[in-house]
Amino acid sequence: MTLGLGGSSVVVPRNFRLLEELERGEKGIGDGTVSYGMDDGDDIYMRSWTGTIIGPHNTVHEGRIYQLKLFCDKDYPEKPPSVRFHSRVNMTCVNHETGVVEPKKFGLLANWQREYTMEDILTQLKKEMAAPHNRKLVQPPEGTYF
Amino acid sequence: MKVFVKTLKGTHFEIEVNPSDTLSEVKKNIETVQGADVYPAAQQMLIHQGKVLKDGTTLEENKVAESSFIVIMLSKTKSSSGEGSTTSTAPSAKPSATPTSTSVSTAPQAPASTGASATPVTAPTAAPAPAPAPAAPAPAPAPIFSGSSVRPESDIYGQAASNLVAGSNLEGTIQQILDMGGGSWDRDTVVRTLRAAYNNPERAVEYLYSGIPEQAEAPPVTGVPASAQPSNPPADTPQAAQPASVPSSGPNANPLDLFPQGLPNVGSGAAGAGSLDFLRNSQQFQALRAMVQANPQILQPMLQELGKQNPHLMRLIQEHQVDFLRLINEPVEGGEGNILGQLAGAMPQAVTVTPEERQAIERLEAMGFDRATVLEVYFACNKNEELAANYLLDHMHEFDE
Repeated sequence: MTLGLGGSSVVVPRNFRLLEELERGEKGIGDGTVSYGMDDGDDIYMRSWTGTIIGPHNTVHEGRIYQLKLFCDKDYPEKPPSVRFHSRVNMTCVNHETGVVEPKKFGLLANWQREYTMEDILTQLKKEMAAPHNRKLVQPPEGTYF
Repeated sequence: MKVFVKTLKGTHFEIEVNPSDTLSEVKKNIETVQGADVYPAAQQMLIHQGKVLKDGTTLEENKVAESSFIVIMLSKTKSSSGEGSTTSTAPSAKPSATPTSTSVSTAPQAPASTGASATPVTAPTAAPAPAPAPAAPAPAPAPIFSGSSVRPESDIYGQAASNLVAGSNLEGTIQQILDMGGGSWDRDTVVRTLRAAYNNPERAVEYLYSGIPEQAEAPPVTGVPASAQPSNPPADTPQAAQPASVPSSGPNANPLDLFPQGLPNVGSGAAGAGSLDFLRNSQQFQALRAMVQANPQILQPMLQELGKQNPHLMRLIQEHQVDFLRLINEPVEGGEGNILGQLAGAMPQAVTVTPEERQAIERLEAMGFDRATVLEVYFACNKNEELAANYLLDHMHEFDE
């Protein structure tokens, strides 16, 4: 994110950017099917975040709540955060043993741009759940975790 | 303090709470304000900033402050059908696709109003499937058509025969489950679990995570065991004596009566590969086949309906399951696209919709499809929103062209 300033552009520092995202998360996003917030309020670097995705309608994921962990390292938002499902899920872009969303298999992380946000990641993962190759996959029992 | 509660329908309401309130109290508060029929406390799940709020904790502990937003959703109710869940450790286990012998013998008699078929049908014996590889013999497929034609309407899809896998599908399912486990399960374990789950992949996965219950780990039967017979045979007599439900005279009274003029002259004992070939020439059967191929889950409810309307044909299908499956899996001439056209062509041009149907149409539109396509598919799918959504998503690339 850049700010116009007399012809030049200023890159918004990492912490400002994360504070913006925190504020947006607190207000509640869109229809409520995705949400996120800070994992540890005392972490001044705002690295650990937690998110939830409510499974989309007309898919095997419907009625399920998936919990995720996002980790924004010091180089965020230049580099994407690492994203890991805490709730067990069967998706083509998620490692079946660790729950990590594999960047090579998930377009948003593979083609990351600094304008993208954690909200974008969660929203895109929800869309991915509804994609033809994921929406009918047999899922692990509800309430199981990686 | 005031807290905003956001619903998944896009609306929100506010509640008055104290920071020291536990989540259980908040849920009861919501139940009182919104009504127990709308948001029963036991089913509520509350989410705040990416965290699922636990009942024992307080709002303060979860950092829920003044004017915070909480998302509310209802967890699915556990189905309380007569068929018990698979294990005590898996609360979300689906009811078994094939009832256990105990549930067969103790099941109460279906009431007369349910319109059971005129002839009681016993579950066919499962023939052992040919082994795909000598190393791992395939389990015997579960009976494809369940004997009872009366099932709770709400549970039809959950118990659809399409949940069961056999033949070439079985191999693919085994591989899919192996991939899902990421190497943590070996092939033999998966095959054994599938056998215990009567070839139901969802249940097999549950068994892999929570262990196979003892009663499920029985060897596959090749005949109907004595225990599976009703313990009180005379009780069947009144049901058998009931007449088949008389269809109304409405335009869609007999949606599945494939042969309104009566069955072709085929003896029920006739064997051989061509015993059901007469179906191939039936336009109704071709339409049914196209619909089933587009969405396999509708096969079981359709067959149940057929059992009520044409028990003779149903018996014939049960006697020749392999032929029927071969016919139903034959490719449709002209593809699926034209069946949609035929169904749409038969529709009236001016239609009235209920508010619920309008909402369903709007939800389908919100998925990114234009209104004309949504209407065509929605009505072609007999106003079944889930069926329509499946069709739209499966064929989205065709609509883009």
